[in-house]
Amino acid sequence: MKTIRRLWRQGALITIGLLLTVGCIVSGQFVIVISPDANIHSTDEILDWLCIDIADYDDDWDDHKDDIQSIQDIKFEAKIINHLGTSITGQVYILDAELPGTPSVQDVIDNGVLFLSEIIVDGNSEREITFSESADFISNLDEVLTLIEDGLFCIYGIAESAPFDFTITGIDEDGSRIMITFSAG
Amino acid sequence: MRKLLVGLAVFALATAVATPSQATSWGIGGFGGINIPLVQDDASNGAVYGGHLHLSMGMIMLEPHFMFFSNGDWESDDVPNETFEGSSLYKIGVNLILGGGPRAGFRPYLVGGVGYFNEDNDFRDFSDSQMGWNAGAGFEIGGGPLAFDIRGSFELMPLDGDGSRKWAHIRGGLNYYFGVM
Repeated sequence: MKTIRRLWRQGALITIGLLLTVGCIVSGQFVIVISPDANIHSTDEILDWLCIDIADYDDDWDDHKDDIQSIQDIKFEAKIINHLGTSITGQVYILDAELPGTPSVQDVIDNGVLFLSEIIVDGNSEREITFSESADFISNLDEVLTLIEDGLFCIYGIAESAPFDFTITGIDEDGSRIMITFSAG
Repeated sequence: MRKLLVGLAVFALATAVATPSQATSWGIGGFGGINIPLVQDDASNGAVYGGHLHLSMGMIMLEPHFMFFSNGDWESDDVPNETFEGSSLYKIGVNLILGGGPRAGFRPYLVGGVGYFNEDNDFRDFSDSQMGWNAGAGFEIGGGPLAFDIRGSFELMPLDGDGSRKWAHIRGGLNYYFGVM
């Protein structure tokens, strides 16, 4: 009996040691939700954008930013309001830094990563997109996840064709929201 | 390490002497229990169930197995009144079991092995497959060919890129050993 007890104790110690050795017992998946406190109101003549430092919004990110292993996922929740009488197909580009001066639509396309597309909004109407629905509009996910790894990124809103005039805002008074899942250890 | 090897040798010898007639036999089993995600904001507790073969070779058993388990739906304090879907997973693997097996009475064991994990998540529109591993302990209790099997295990699936998903499984089941009276 003593032998069996000793065997169990040694097995448990080896298992714990193995877990600690590979550094995995304290790592995990963390989900943060940030709510930028500003809207994006873009027209084909005057673009609008929003630059985000995740550390400004979430303590979890700040706590783990030196130990982040990978960004696993990004989702969003927003309402797009089309101010024109004709329908638009909205797009969102992600850049790792703010474009200098007064950027054009082509500057955004040339320098950014297309993140959201095919967001069709009828004229003079609005469209709500929930977190669950947002996956339907996301493209280039891996590229975007790599791009936002340092926690700093800029969001530019444009439409596939001019003219356009729309606002990206929140579904409710909390504003639009971005959900980021990351792995840290 | 030397003490562990000596301990294993003593245990193996004791097992072999005690059960010469069941030196090689085999059995089947099914199990169910609770899946507890470890340090995963995007998951809550779910269920685990599956089946296995037990190929007994003296003091050790080989355990080819499959299991299905789920991460329960989860919520975020920052998004009140919304629930998000957890992942569905399956695993096919093989374990090595030290102890347990087709013997009467209380039979504690250690278990460890490797397996192919597959994770699907509709909310994330995501699917991934990776080789992972598990380790744990449990006991079988019973007489004749039937044995109740209680086990706790730690399961780890590496993630594409870096990091890993981890779970604790607490489960119970029933094993049937062929050729054991």
